[in-house]
Amino acid sequence: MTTFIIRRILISIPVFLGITFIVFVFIALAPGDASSAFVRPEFAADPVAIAKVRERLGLDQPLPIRYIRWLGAALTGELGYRIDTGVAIADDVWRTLKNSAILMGTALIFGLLVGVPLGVLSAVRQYSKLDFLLTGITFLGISIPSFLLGLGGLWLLGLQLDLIPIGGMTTVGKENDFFDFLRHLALPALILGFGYAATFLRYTRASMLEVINSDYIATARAKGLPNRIVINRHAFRNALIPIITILALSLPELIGGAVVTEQVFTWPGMGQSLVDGVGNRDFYLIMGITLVLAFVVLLANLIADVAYGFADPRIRRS
Amino acid sequence: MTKRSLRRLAAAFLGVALLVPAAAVTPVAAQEEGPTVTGAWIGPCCNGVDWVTPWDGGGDAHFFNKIYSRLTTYEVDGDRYGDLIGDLAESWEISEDQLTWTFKLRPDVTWHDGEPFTAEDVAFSFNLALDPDKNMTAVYGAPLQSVVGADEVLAGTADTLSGVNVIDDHTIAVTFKAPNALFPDSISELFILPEHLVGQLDVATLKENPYWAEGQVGTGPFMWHAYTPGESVELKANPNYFLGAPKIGTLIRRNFVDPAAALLAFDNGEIDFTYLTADEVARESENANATVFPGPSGVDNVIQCNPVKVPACANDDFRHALLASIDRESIIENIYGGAAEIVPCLYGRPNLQGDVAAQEYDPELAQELLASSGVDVASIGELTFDTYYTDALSLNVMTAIAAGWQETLGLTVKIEQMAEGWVERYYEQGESEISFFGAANGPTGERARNYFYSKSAHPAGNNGWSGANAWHYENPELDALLDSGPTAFDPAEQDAIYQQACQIMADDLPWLYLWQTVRYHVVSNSLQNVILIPAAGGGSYYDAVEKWEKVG
Repeated sequence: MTTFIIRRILISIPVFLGITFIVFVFIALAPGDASSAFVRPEFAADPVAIAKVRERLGLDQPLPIRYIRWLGAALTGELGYRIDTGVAIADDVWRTLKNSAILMGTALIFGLLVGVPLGVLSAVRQYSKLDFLLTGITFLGISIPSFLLGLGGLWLLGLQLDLIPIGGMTTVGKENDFFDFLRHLALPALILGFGYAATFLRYTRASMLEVINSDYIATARAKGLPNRIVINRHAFRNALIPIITILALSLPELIGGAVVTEQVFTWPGMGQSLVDGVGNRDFYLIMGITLVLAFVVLLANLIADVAYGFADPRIRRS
Repeated sequence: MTKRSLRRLAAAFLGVALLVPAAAVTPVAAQEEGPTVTGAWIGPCCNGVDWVTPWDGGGDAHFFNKIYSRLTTYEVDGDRYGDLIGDLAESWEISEDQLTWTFKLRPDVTWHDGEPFTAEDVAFSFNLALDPDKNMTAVYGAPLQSVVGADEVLAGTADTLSGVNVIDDHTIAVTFKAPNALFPDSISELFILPEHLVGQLDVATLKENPYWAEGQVGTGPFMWHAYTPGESVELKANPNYFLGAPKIGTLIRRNFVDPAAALLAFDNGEIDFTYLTADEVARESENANATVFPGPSGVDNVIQCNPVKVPACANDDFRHALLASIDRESIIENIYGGAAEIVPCLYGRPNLQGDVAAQEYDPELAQELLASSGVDVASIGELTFDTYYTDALSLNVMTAIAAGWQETLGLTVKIEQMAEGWVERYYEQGESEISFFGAANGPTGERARNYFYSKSAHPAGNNGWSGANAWHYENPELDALLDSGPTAFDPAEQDAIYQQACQIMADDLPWLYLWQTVRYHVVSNSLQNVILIPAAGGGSYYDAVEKWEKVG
């Protein structure tokens, strides 16, 4: 297993660099550039000023030189500054990463705790009223756009019932009030968690159905094992592989944030930061976020591969 | 951890999260020195709370005017800009040769840190605004370009403007290369910065200096207190404000990315005012606890047909036919919900428009003009009608315009809303065929120089066409008027000059001038004595915020 992990890490290095290069090229090829953050069309664009901004940002240099310069600086920990606010990228990414991780982590845990058990229950009671109800809820969870849920939730829980505050992460002046923070967190986390729960429920149910119809489950039942043991020990563990895959694929979202939900709730996370970066053509910011996301995607894949081995010894041995 | 434990943990979390008493989010209790007012300064163009530098152009200029002061500003007359009045300047006068403006500054002004405000701060701000080495925009410093010595500063051969002379602590003289009657007006948007603090910062890294986020200092009615990235900026009343201590103790700017969420927060009483989109005006107008504040945006919507790409656009009759086939009144009523005013030329202010009439919607006239133009519309083919506006409302407006052209003239266009790259296509490459965009229309008639003065043509200036094959609009008569405008020190004479310029713009139609949009804020009735022009363009005006009161 150790050799496997080391090999995967070594393979990840060129993949990591490749991701940064491809994203860098895409940003460069897209129409417009970071100078547009300094240009207001309503006031007319002064070409001399634009040229000066481009020179200052190094945008007048050829693409390979720009990439090498960025990479060289990044390797020394210098990720540049946000073009719009002047904040150091490293500081900004760290701040928004933490905020996104809190929101998405809470949502993911909620989704796991709700979705997986209900998925098992739904599979075990296939075609029952409960199964139909849960399947229906799953469709709703996957189908309803998060902005609609967000605004609807704010209207109902915030405006009509006055249970939660509308937008933001804290109330001004109560930055250290934990309960105030929880009340800001509750609705966006629940909405995102609802989506996660629906996804986990759906995959768990499908995976469990496949497993419980297997011969070895029939054998276990034939041996007279109680249903609880059959489901928990034999079926569920073997149904874990697709769940681990979904979980691993969700890990990068933990820090990548949820763009729409963060916008609706004014949650200062990485999703919102990324939208700012794309809007301003801020390659420093986009590349800073890309660095972190690429790292987490590769790490999540590694974790998933290792987890497969633990869940299914056949994979570990092979 | 057992399943039961997990279940308990999850239940505990959800219970706590949802059931903590509502009182926990009651806005911060009133401060000793006065109540707290919270607002959202958001809009379609505007910068969020993280733009913490005062010189970046944007609709949040009427947030930064709470912290900073300018030399001059405008008083508000109803929902319009009124007369120019002093802010940091008590008075100003022109020399006999009409080349030097002398400003007498208020003697009783101190910076928030207690240091006295002097003429040196004004000179410093002027020099910094033009400094080409600073990595910060200063869109409101443009009026300084006609000061003696500006060319040298811009070229980097001088550090200071030789035309700016500090006479004494409270008197400063500014000498121009040519008479500039408009300077007191045009400098009304530049915030004055403290030399003793900003002067210590590295110019090349000015924007990213933590000074702005950690405790910038101004002379305005409120002082920087706290900043939470992505969330809010909190200001405290300045007890030494030169126009009197504010009655509000704390002023909080909250960040909202989605205007709908901001409006929900307003309806819930969490914030006292917010930006209002045009489609919400009717609903909030029925809110007995709130008042809707309209105001001119300071930005015209215009259309430019590029003669380089579409030769027919060089034909005067064809351009007039394009305008006559746009039913502006219908578009304003049905799409903008009445939230726009037709303009006859670039200028949005009535004193600059005079009696110049806007072209009325007249399909028959449009067809006659098309016939007299000799343009064969069929040979033009389908044109790309581009814009940088990406919102649905703009799409509806452009669709209505396109339908009018199709129905009246048989002209077909394909609408393209460009999230990115419009500026490059339009200004730099000159590749746009026909474009829908916004243009600042004031505060003075001098604004037309940006766009239509022949010597301002791109790349030296910005009249809207560019590239090697650019077609530059030129009219010597308009040039002469724009040259004489700044030399007219009598306001009536000045207005008459720009009204003539307006007539020429309406006759020549280098752009199809459509309308000036109206923007809105909604304010809780618990907030009183409010003066507010929701100008997303960031116009300068005296909002008397020190007199705002929160009752109830």
